[in-house]
Amino acid sequence: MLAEFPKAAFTAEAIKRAAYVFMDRADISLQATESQWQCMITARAGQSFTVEQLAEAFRREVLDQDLRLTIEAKTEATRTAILGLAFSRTGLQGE
Amino acid sequence: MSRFQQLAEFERPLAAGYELLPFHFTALDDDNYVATNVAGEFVVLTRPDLEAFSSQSLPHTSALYDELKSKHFLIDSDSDVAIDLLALKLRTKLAPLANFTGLHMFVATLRCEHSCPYCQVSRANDDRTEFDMSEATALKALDLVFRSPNPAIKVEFQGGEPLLNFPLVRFVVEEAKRRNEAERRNLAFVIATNLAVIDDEILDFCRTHAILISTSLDGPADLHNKNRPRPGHDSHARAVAGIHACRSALGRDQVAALMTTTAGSLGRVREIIDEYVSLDFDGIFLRPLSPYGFAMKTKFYRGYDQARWLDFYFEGLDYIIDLNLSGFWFIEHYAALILRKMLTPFQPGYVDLISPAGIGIGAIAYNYDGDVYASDESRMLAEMGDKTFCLGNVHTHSFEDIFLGDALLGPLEASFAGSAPMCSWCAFEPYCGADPVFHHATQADFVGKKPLSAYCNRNMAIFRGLIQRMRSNPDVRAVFERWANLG
Ligand code: SF4
Repeated sequence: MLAEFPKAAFTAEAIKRAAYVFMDRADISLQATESQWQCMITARAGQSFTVEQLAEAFRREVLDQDLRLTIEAKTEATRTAILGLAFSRTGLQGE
Repeated sequence: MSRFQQLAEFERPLAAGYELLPFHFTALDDDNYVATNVAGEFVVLTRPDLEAFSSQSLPHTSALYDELKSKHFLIDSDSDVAIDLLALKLRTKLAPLANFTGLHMFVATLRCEHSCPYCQVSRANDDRTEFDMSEATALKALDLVFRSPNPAIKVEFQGGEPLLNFPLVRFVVEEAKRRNEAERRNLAFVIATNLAVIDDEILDFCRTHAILISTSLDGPADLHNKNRPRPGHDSHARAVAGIHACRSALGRDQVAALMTTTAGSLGRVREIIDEYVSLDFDGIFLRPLSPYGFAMKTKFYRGYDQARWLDFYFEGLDYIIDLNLSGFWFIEHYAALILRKMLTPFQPGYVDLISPAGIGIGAIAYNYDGDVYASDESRMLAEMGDKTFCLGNVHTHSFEDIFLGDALLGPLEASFAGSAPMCSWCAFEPYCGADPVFHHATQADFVGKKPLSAYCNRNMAIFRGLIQRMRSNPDVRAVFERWANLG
């Protein structure tokens, strides 16, 4: 089954992460057209979901990954600052 | 002039809005998400709320805003100390790592008078001493023990059945205490024993040196005896008699019991718990199926069994929760470890739930022949022919070779959950671990593909199950708070 995501809205990173999460349930092959990411979803043998259910869950996972990437970008500098502060006083860092 | 600002002052929209602090989120169920910050504090929120919060449009008058602010998920003009506080909390959680190895396991002998089918390491022949640790090996191992900077050192005797080489146990305890007169560490000893051969001489020695006994109890007699065959078919009777003898000689709290979960355990969790209750233990550790030893040997370890184990676990957990709600105090120790991470600023030192992985830096195993392993599981793997986690030998390698060599640092670095695919964006990462030994054993890869990992699948189900239970019933939350704060 084919699931499409507009390139203008989603990064390849979000789709690749979602495909990774789905490796236990589905094989997902990714192709790019001019404007779309095209994901061919094939259910893996021996699992109980229909391919429609898998596609729906995959869309949700892509949305989640997209939001995660947005949050990561917004909070990257603060995360580095917190880790820097935390490690600077544990004695765990090298000289 | 008024001493306090007018109420309207607190109700006005904050001029600069708010900034997000770093957090991860993972679905809890169809409608809700769990979000955690770097210190492991968590919030449950709906998808619309998650989107509103992430797009920085959550109204500051909402209850969720207050919760997110108090738990350090956002910073506004009114809360500029959040970054320092988060760093402090994270540092508190990381602090035990700096102490380095605290648990040192001595495999006193591989001999055992039991012949448990799941055990890879024991040698049934119990009168041959070629599988005993020698005093020379023990002295070299003790040199390494005291090189560890940890102010608290625990020496645990393992086997086989370590009491079959009691002279070595005695030698190590006395020598360690002698060295500790100068070292002044907080030194403790544990003997992991099936109790079948314990006698008054050993009990006297344990009392003199305040040695803790950790025994095996798999459940009711038929199950325990089936798991643990020995001549006379009386393993359970001997364990129970031994527990009573140890308690009267050493004190009730000096005896702990651990269960091994096998296929035969899966439908019988209530009976197993009842056995622990009737023997007056105040908790049980509902252990996962091990991929080592028995499970590998019998091909028992499959995804199907993992699903059955989760049913076993949650039936047991709910049974124990009900005991607590009816006023009977009893703990499930695996849940308690996780809840301590979720609900307190502290990090329990349980090797399987630490990232960077607990191997080597949380615990180390000295085999009878002087080989040093990154964990007890690592030596089991070696007995099955895979010596990947053998860090060296006490006779031929230095402390630096063993603890700073690639055999340890390689898997530690590779498996660090903060950078592993899926773990790096998982909300449960602050509660989880890395377990490179498990992933190496099951996937031939230190990191492991987490969507295919039974370790990930099991822990994620438990993290969700615990959060769901405490959300749905405040009384359960109160029980969990007590477990978490046991220390
Ligand atoms: S192992 Fe699984 S549950 Fe644990 S942090 Fe990684 S993805 Fe999350």
